Amino acid sequence: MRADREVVAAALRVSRGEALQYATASMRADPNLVESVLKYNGVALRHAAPELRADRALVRAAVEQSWAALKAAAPALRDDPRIVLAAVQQHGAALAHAGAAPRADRAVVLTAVRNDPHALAHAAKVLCADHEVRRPPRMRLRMAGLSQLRSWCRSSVADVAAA
Amino acid sequence: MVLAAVSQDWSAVRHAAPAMWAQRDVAIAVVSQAWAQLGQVSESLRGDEAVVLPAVRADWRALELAGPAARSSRAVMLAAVAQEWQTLQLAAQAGRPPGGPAAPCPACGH
Repeated sequence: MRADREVVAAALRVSRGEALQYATASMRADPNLVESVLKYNGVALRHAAPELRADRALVRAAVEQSWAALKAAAPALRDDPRIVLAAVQQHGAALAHAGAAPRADRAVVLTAVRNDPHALAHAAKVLCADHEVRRPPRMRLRMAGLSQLRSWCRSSVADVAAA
Repeated sequence: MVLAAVSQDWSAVRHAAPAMWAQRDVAIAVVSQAWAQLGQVSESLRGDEAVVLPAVRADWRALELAGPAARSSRAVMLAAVAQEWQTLQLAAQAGRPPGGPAAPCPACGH
């Protein structure tokens, strides 16, 4: 009966997509069904089949609906700055679920910090060597979040010196 | 006569012969008024959609008392998931041994 689409569709409506976890494996691997769920519940991506969690278009749709969906994406996509940028544009906390590359991407980190200063905790230290971060701010090119990033880099240097 | 009495008040079945629980019409009349009594009807009737459906419509928890055949009924499952979506987990699955243990229900902890 879990394979009965009408029953599963009713459960998905009532649960706002969470019932996907009890659908059959073939349903959880159905791109059309999963996409219809992700439109209103991106976090349900965690119940989708592994191959769909590695599908760029579906994962993008999921993180655009909810930044928290990034946690369920395949590792390769969590390491994709474009996918991560879509998530941190909503909430900087998404940086916690990102791979190494986006954490070292200036545009991604600055976007995250603008939304949530605590996102700095998940930034890569290598960013402190970025010339845009190191050079003095110019009035016209001042970027939101850059001052927090600089302060973080200075405190990181202080921490290393103290240790 | 028993059916007429039970249709007015399900508890009248207590005064009837135990064999009355195996009567389909009586069972339907009882569970329509008191869903939890589904656990008292015969095993074969607990798999009967006509008996289980009014009980599940009254309360999704009746699904826990239903047999595998009833859990394979679309009408029964639609009535259940409309009230509590997690009952989808209780739906009959292909491959489950007949009469085997049902999956625990996360909604109720049973």
